[in-house]
Amino acid sequence: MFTSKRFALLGFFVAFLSLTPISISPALAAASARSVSPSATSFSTGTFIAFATASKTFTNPLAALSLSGVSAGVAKPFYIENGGTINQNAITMTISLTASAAITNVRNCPVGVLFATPTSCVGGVTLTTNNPTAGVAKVYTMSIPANTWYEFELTASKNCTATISVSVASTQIATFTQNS
Amino acid sequence: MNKTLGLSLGKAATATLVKVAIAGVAVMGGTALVSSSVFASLTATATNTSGGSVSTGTLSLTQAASGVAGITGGFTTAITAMGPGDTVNRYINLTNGGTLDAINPTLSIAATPSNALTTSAGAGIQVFIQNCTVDWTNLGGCTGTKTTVLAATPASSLGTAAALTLPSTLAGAVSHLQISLSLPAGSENVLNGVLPGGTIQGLTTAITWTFNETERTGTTTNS
Repeated sequence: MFTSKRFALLGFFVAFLSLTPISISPALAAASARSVSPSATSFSTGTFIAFATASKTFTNPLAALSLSGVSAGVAKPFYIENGGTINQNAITMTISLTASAAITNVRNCPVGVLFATPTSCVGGVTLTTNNPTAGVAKVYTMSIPANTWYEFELTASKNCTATISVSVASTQIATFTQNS
Repeated sequence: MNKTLGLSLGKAATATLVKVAIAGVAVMGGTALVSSSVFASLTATATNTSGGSVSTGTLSLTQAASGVAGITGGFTTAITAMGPGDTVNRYINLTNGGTLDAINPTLSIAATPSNALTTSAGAGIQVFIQNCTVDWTNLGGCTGTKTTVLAATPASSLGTAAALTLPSTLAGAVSHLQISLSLPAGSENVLNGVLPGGTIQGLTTAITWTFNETERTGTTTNS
């Protein structure tokens, strides 16, 4: 198999590899510089939450308001509250009535102002009157800053129970651009 | 006569012996030199008498909040109560403070904890960066030349370094950056106080910003 010549050749080859200086090309390294922010930027989002309540509690009911004891022709108060941290420009409210009752009107005073009488606000400020259709969603355009409320009054044509559902879409919040 | 002859023969023999001895020493010396493999050669050295100083440059990248009153928040001031459609602009001066020019500037971020703010490409944070050749005004105005450094990019894709288009990365260059952080308008709807699933609302994350640059291409100088 291996002759002496082959052994000699192999030996020569091994000796050549052993004695030949090894030349490795240096890696082409480039310096780099890095700058890391001295501390992390805390970034948090707020919430846009509105709900209807029978009293000014700012307790999120996580459900529609069931307003019982609505008497025909008698204004029944309730509140719309912004329980989030983002100001709102509008809400969408749907008032559904039992007993096939119709909505006579829905009134509200300005933000943070109570009714003085069924037809007037405290301080004589102007109230707003709407005539939505029962069971149909209606957009109420109004500025509702975070942690504020509006007082509403519902008048129905019959004795009934009202279910008041309120929603806020991301298109109904007050947005901002801030330089800081 | 014999005595004289004897003396004559003695001198000749002595001379012969001396010659043989010298030759023998010479041969032994040469042999010793060769056998010990000692080889001598002449060398000459030339050394410069002055100069020859070699020094390296530096590559340094630093960031600092704008010093313009009203927009000094930088990266260290918290951003709170953001909602869909909101934008917060922060102002950073990025300085190549070394003596070497740089290339390939990049930006990457790391966020903790990881949530929809930095994982959702559609609803999460968007990063848009512009440069002004002079300081930005406190209202976000640029009285110099304004250029885009990074087109609007979801934070979700900045975990991998993104290339920046800085007007200059030469030694000493200062980039006046306006970094816009925004949330897309979105389509969330909150019904009766119940947040929708997967909401972008009520989240918090902490973002670390890392700018990077590389030394300019190596040069060969004949001088």
